[in-house]
This record gives sequence, structure tokens and C-alpha cells, in this order.
Amino acid sequence: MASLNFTPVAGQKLPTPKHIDVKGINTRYYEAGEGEPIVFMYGGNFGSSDSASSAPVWSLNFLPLSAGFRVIAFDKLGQGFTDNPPRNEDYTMASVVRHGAAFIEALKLPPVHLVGHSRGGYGCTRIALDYPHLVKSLTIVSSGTLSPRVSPNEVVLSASPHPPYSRESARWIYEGYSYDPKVVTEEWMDNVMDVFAQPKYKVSVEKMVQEGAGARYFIPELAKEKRETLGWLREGRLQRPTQIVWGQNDPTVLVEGCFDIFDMIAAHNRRTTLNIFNHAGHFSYREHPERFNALLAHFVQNASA
Amino acid sequence: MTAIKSSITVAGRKVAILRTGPASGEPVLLVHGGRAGVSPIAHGSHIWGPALPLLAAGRPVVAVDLPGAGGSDLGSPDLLMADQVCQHLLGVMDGLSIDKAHVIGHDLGGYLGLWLAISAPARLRSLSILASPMAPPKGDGLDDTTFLATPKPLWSRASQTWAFERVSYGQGHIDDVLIDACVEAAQGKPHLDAVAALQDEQLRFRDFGIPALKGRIWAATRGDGISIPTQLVWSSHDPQAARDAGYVLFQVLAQKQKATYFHLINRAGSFAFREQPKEFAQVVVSFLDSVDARLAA
Repeated sequence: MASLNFTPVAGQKLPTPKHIDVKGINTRYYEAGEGEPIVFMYGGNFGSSDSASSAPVWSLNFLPLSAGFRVIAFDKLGQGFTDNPPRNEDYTMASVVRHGAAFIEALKLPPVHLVGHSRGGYGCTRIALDYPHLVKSLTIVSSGTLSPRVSPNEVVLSASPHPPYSRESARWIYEGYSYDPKVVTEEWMDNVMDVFAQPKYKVSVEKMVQEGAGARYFIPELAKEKRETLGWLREGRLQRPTQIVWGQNDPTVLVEGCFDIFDMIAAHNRRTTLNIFNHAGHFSYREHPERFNALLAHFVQNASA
Repeated sequence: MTAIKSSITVAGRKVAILRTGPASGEPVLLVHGGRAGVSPIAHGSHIWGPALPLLAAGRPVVAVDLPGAGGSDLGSPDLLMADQVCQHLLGVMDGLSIDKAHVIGHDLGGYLGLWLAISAPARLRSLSILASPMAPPKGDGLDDTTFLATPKPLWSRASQTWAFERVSYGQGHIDDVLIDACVEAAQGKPHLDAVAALQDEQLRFRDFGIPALKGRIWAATRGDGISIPTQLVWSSHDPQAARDAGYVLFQVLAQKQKATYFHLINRAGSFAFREQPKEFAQVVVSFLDSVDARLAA
């Protein structure tokens, strides 16, 4: 592993994406490399007109780690280039979690190392709780969704001064998430614009906002599921090696929350570690790719041994 | 990979070292903790145990015995003062032809690393401070009662075993190999010299020069700060190196150094590198790898 180069190489491109039918949902994903499977799950949720995450957000980790691992980054249900939920009542985190688990099953992967960021950190934790047979280890990155503390992002990132679906708006959001606004590259914004450009993405925003799926299903269901999830963590139902990675300067997630999550999991689970990165906002894996990649590689190797 | 014991002479004093790992790579310097002659555990390079081969997977590792510990001559009671020990450590690096090292210091060794990072930054590639109760700001902290009722005779097998149990989460790492080495270190002339030197009340009150340097350390952290990548590795169950104190130190260092990290290792006390060696190595070696990767880039 000492031979792995943890530094992203400028100009290196992601491979051509693949598509797979996951219980009727056409799902886009990127896959490269051989070895222990690492599955990345990004954050955000469907129905946002001022920012849009998709699988290439992991490019700085996916590419360097592909030299030593089988890395897989997929688009979540209703995000990126994966189909929208079929019904309004499927606009829930529970559906996103079910789809994520079904994606792992569809690829016929051996138990995977899950890496989830933000809402994806919650999603991966939930997969590890609901489908432990699919999971070998869990990495939770800056997840306000999983934190028992309040998340101030609705304040910090509210009222974008730019029009919806614009590059400027996305840039404003991701710069607001970051410690160093310079990490928000044009390439990253290109990926956001690609997502915005799809008619199906605007449909998801319509469903969530105009048709009220957000207020009716997503938010209240998540609140219930989160209560259950935190209860399960306190009961010790998370039984896989777990590491928590947090940015010290994340304006949207209180740093205290990572200590709370550590305590809940560590009380029952020996192999639990907490890692706080300085000069890192919400996207520590993009702001400190070398540190993140080295940590993930060592963690995965340990969890596989 | 076995660790080889040897010694060098620095300013006329014998310095015992333990070496392992490949010949090439960025060297790691391990600095143990304990207040030699006072601590109820006779610390020394023998303390690193299971962490040595893990740290040495890709780098040469040198673990030193500090003056008055293990096989290293005390020489002078001045060598029980932090600033003097740091000067001495630079001499040890010179003697080993190590220009720059990844310094990893436990307990008092972490405090020494912090002062080295401020006073001789050109000699450090990175700094790892492990479970150091003396490195963070003290405030009006409570007195430390962890070793209030250490059983006598001090530094006997029973007494040192008791002390390890006080500061460990689990007892599994407290084995005969460890206690034998600690008893041998305690009975050696360097340690006996340290015990004798610290009979002097004035010297004892100077507490290894820790308080005297604190003001200079905080002035430096508020000024230019630490110029090298630094990580703090704390544990879930350390009665002395409290989590909050470690996190406060992290925040202090993070003001000026971008590459500052704070880590917690579960089910460990003061000796995470013995109690949870794999999780310890996951955190520490990945840090060293990322520092070396950035330098290479």
C-alpha cells in the first residue's frame, strides 16, 4: 500500500460511467480498480434547484484509490443520472437507502466498505444497520443528517443570490460549504450543470417543492427514521468497523456532533475511530484528498484483514 | 522484523536506541513519555511494543530512551528539563545522521515534540502528539490523582502493573514482556540516577521544565504557529489525557497550521499504541503517508 499514490493527478478523468437496472431504477455508476470494494455515497437530496451532487464529486478519491481497491461511486435514487423515484411517496430517505442496498446487491458485490458523506453518511449508516450482510466497514463523513445536534445549513446556505439551476448558484452553495472557496473547481461545477440540464432533474424539484413531496414525505419521514436510527446506534446495533471523518470548519455541521456520534457507536463497537481535519469544511475529502485517501486506504485494509 | 537495540554517544552520554524497519524512507523518531524518576511506570523505548512493526512497515523507526530512562545516561540533572532534553534529542538526531524526522511523542514525549516543533521546526517532517496530559493548556485544572496511592515498593512488578492498570482501558497489553522490561529499566543506573536527582525538592518543583516553557509555547502558537503538519491522537478512556483538553490543544494549533488533525481511538487509555495497535497505526501511518505524499507531489 506504500506504493499507492494518494495525491490526485491533475487532468485525470473518470472512466466512462455504467448503468444498471436496480429494481426498475436505471442507475448510473462509476467503477474502477480491483481489490476490496469501496462504495461511495454522496450527500444532498433530490429536489434542490441551487446545487446538485452526483457521483463525480468523489473524483479526487475514486481515481487515486482505484490503484489499490475496487472503487464504485453511484448516483442515488433521484439524483445525478439515476432515475427519479416512481411515486411521490417514494421521495424519502428510506427509498434512497433501499435503492442503495439494492444497487450493492445488483452488482453482486461481496460485503463492501461504505463511505457516506452528509445525507449519504446517514444513508450508509442505515444500510449498515438494515443490511449488515452487505457491509464490511463504514466511513461516515460530516453527516449533519446523522448528528443528534441541529444543523445550521438552512441558515448558512439559504437565500442564494443567484437564479435557480445556475452555475453561479451552485458555486455560491459549494463555496459556502467549504473552508477554502478555491477548492470549488470548474470541473466540479461542470458536473452540477450536467445534472441540472436533465429534464428529469427539474421534475424531481417540481415533485419535492411544487407538489409538496418534501414537506409531505421526505422531511417528516426522515425525522421519524432518524429517531429510530439514533436509537439503534445507542442500542449497539451498528456492528462493523466504523470511522468518522469531520471537518473542523464546516459551517453547516456542528463539530460537537461528531463526538456524539463517536460516543454512541464507540460504546458498543471496539473498532471505532474519530478523525477531525482542520481547514476543512463540509467536503473534507475534496479539501484534503491526500489525508482522506490515506486514512480510507489504511482503514479499509484494517477492516479487511 | 525484529527491533535491534544499540547505543550511540551524544555529548559524552550513552543514548540507548531501538531501531527497526527498512533502511530507506522518511525516518520516524519515537519519543516515549513518563517523568523519569517520578512516574510510577519506568518508561523507555520498550514501551512501544506492538506499534513498532506497524510503524516500521514503510519507514525506518528509531525509538530512543530519554536521559534517565532505560539504557540512556542521565549525565546531569539538567537533562530532566524539557528544553535541555529537546536540545539533547537534536544531538541524538545528529548522531544518527537524521536531518528530519516524523516525530511521534507519547505523554511527556508529545510535549517535547511540541517544543521541538516550535524551537527546531526544520528538523521535523511532522509531529504526532499521543495522549499527552501535559501538552494542552492547563487552566485551573484539578490535581491529578490517578497515581495517588501507588503501592510500594515503587517500580516493583506489582507497583508498575498497578500503574499500567490505572491508565489503561484493557489489561490485555500488560504482559510479562512489558513488566519485565519496565522493572529492568527501573533498576538500571540511569533511572536510579534520575530518582536520586529528584530527591532535590527544588528540581522536583520545576516539574521537568514543563511549566517554564508553557508561556513560550502559547506565545509561539499565537504568533507564527507550528510550521509542520501536526496530529493529536487521543483516546476514549484516558484518565490523564482528557479528550476535551486534547481538542482544545487541537483548536489552538489549528489556528495557524492547516494540516492539523485530531483523532480519537476507542477502548484505549494512555497506551492506544499498545491497546489498539492496528487502529493506532491506521490513524498514524495514514498521516505519515499523506505528509510524505504531499511532499512528493
